[in-house]
Amino acid sequence: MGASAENAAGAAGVTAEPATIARNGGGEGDAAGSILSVRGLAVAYRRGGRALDVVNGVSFDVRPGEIFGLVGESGSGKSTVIRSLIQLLPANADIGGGTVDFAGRDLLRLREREMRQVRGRDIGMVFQDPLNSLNPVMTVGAQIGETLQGAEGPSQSRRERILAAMRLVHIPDPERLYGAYPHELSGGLRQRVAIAIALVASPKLLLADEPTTALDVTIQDQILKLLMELSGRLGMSVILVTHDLGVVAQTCQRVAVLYAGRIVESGPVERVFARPAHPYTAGLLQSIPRGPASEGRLQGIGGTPPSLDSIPAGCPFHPRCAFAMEACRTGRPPLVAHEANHLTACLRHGDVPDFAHV
Amino acid sequence: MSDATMSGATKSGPMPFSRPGPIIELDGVVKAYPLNRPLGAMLAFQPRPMLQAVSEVSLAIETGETFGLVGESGCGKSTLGRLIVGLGAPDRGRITFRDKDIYLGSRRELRALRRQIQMVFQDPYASLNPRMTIGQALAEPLRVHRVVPAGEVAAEVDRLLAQVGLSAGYVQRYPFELSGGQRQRVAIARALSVRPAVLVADEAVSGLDVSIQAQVLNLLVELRDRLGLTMVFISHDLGVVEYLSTRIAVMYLGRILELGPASAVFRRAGHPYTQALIRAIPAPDPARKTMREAVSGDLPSPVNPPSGCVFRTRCPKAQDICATMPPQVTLGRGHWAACHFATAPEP
Repeated sequence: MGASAENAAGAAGVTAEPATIARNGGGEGDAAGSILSVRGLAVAYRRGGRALDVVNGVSFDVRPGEIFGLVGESGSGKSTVIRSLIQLLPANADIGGGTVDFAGRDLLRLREREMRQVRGRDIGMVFQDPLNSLNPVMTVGAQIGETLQGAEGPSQSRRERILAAMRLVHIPDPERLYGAYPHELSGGLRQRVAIAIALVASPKLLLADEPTTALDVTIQDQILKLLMELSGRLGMSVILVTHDLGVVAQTCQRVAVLYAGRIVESGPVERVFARPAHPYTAGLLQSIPRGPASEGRLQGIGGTPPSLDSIPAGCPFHPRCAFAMEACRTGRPPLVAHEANHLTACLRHGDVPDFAHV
Repeated sequence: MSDATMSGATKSGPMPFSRPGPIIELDGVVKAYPLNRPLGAMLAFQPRPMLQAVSEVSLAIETGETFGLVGESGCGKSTLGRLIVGLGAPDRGRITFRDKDIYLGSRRELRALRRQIQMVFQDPYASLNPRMTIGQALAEPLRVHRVVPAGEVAAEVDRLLAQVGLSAGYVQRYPFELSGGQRQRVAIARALSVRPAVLVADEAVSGLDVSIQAQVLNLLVELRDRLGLTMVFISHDLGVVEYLSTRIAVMYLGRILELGPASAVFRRAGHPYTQALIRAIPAPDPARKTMREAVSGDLPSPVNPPSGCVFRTRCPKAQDICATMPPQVTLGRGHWAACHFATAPEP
């Protein structure tokens, strides 16, 4: 197993006060007031007799009613993180350590039978491609109703609940589309159906894994606005996994940036975007075009992300980092407070005042 | 050089100072694809429904410019790109390269003509032969088109690799050994190997992670400026299109709704669809957060597009008149929008 005890080094609650982090090593960070608390999560994939660390010592908290962004490039482990929360990992994945505290229970210790009660009922899920996640031979209404299976109540109220869920996500003409099949719907409507399925049992937390990546920009905009509206109206928390920093800026209150399976920075969206405290975050922000090339070239980041079987020692970003020093090559930087509630796993966050403007 | 010419050069972007005129012209280009019918319709001899991919597109691409084609899926931008490189003849209309029709002529003539217009696709893994080394993939077009004498092919391959920032060590590698960004560099090198005048890039950076996308975008800018390439840059991503393009055409359901200098289209968009598209891009700036939908509703089916203005079914400004074909309203120099309600700026 690739998981190790060093997790604790990176395990610092996002909501924790700086002092708490220093004292506890973050392992028991201040999780009060959060609906989900992840500590020291480690996941490895078995491949060809080796264990590849996909997620290593990831810790964060999600507060009630907030949209929490988990952002990273491909292979950063962002999907693995949220899939492990509800134990929806591929067969060759092993959870090597950590805890996921949700409503007083550690989700990582639940058996499959118990987990099934949590999925859908307490935690809803929306995935990238609604055409793949919807059942092609089941009507929209029946699929939304499936989540309610086992729930008490006569069938009339069941139909009403389904229609209410369809109205909630602004599906036009719900009475008619109740009997429609997924292939009859546009991509945007299918994603609304997927969201209705996730919401019909009134979960407290919604996991959305790249929910708009397969959609056109005007439809993406509609779905993001819908998620914001629902989160606000229902007081529901959302973990939004995305590769798109624009999506994070527009929808999330707080964000964690993943690189090579580790959180390298986290904090309120306004602060992270205005004054990134990790060179990787700064590089990502400088990679986004914001005007013509004639007005300034993209700074970007040199090199390529490491492959899972050769994650560099020390700070995993150091080979691509313009600020790297000797210490970055050896010790893994802990996630520490840069400012209150704004954490970074960079040894140089203190002596480089502003990575974004260097 | 005087200040006046300096500012002129900046405005028109990094391109040669003299403008020899259009290099590619499209005149009334139409392309439709037949769709399959259900069995019942087939037995009743009903005509096959047609998907209107490109309807009546006319435009001229100037030598040395980067022309951005932007729109959502199904708008016809990829079909238009393929028509420009000679992949599939238009049903109606003409496409010319330096005044020669790229679909008329002997095989020999067309081959010489089409060598001048090369394409880079979205997925370099699909466009590179998995059984060919990078060296073989780059040598093939050099031999087929006799770009350099046989004895100089190897040296030319090394030069092409260096040009896209890859070391000569990649000659022996296979596509699967490369990352997405490296593969796209190879695809660009291969397109440039026959020394084309025009490069058509169809979603060439869309499959890449943002940090790698930035590297490839910078490479494209550098190559374009160094080689004096004319580029047609096709993308759904307005930010990327704005970064590269000197002029932009906005497409929707097979039609161009707005066309103009990139800065004008972005700052003074005249078509309600362009305005909605710009508002819908999630800005990477939390201070510019919006709660309102940029535009409601779904794309109509391209099999049965709305009459008149194709955007009218989603347009907040739509009136009865929009069921008739909108005029091209001039909004500025070289800038127009096809909208009944677009207004020319006050003089």
